[in-house]
Amino acid sequence: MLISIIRTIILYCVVLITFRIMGKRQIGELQPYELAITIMISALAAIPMEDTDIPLINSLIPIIMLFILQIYMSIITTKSNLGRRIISGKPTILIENGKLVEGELQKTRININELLEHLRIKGYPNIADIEFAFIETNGTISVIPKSQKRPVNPKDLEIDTEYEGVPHPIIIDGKVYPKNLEKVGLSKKWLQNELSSFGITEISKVFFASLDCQGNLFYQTYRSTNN
Amino acid sequence: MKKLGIGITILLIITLAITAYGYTFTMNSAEEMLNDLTELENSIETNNWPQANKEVDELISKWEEINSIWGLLLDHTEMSKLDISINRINKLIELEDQEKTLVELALTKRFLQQIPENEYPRFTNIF
Repeated sequence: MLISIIRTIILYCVVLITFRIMGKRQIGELQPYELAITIMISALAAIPMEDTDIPLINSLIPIIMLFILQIYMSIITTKSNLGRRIISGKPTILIENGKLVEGELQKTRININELLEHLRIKGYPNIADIEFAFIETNGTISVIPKSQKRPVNPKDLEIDTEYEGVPHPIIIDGKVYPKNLEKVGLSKKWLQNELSSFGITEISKVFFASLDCQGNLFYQTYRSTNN
Repeated sequence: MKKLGIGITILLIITLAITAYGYTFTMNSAEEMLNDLTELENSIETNNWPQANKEVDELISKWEEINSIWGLLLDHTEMSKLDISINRINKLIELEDQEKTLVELALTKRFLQQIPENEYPRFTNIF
């Protein structure tokens, strides 16, 4: 039993490191080959967890080999167009210039009801509002609406907008993030002064604080919702 | 990307090297054990029990060494079977029971022959 626990910890760490190095895509939307590798790694890790007669190396070597193959595949798909087309395939147009492409629907084995369902999920209940729809290589459907049906943006209304950066979290769970403060050219002392002006004497009392690109400080103390 | 490619290639080489080492170690040690068992068989067939006793002691100490590495590479059930067989041979030699010892030796040899046979990268093993 103890062996199972130790094996589980080892395999968990190996699988975690493998997926972490494989990259963010591996846990997001998967390409066909990525899905295959994910399933295989999970199965390889699960079997020796319960069967202690199987040497751990019999699982670790295949996991490492799959990881190596996955990285090579990623390099090929990044560097080579032909490789990408063979390994990942290419997007298919399901609606072109507002018209359903019957041949492609048949080839991809997607029926009209399924397509309509996906379009509704995307917020387009009327097929007549769509200019283009694609099925991407990872199986998701992306939609480009007709220009008259797309959401209005500030440029359409000729409205000038200011630059909007990303707010920087500077205190999380009572701890200051000095790197984020450095990024915006401020110091811990400035932060302490700023907080004391709101009557907060200790940083450890702040649950969360962030600074937006206009220099506005948002903060929230523990068990209260100030600001 | 280039660094990743180089790193992965190094990892691939290390993995292949470990696999190759494991494979050659298994093959060589199984062959050594088989040779020792053949010698032991000859001693028993000629009723040379003092020599058989000496040889079985050597066989057990060699098995203990091999066992520690085989345990990392091979199915533990197979290892247990071999371990039991070797211990049985040892006891039967102590009892000087020629017939049973020879039967057990033949079985152990077959077990040992199966290990490299199962590891060999041939068509039937792959599929």
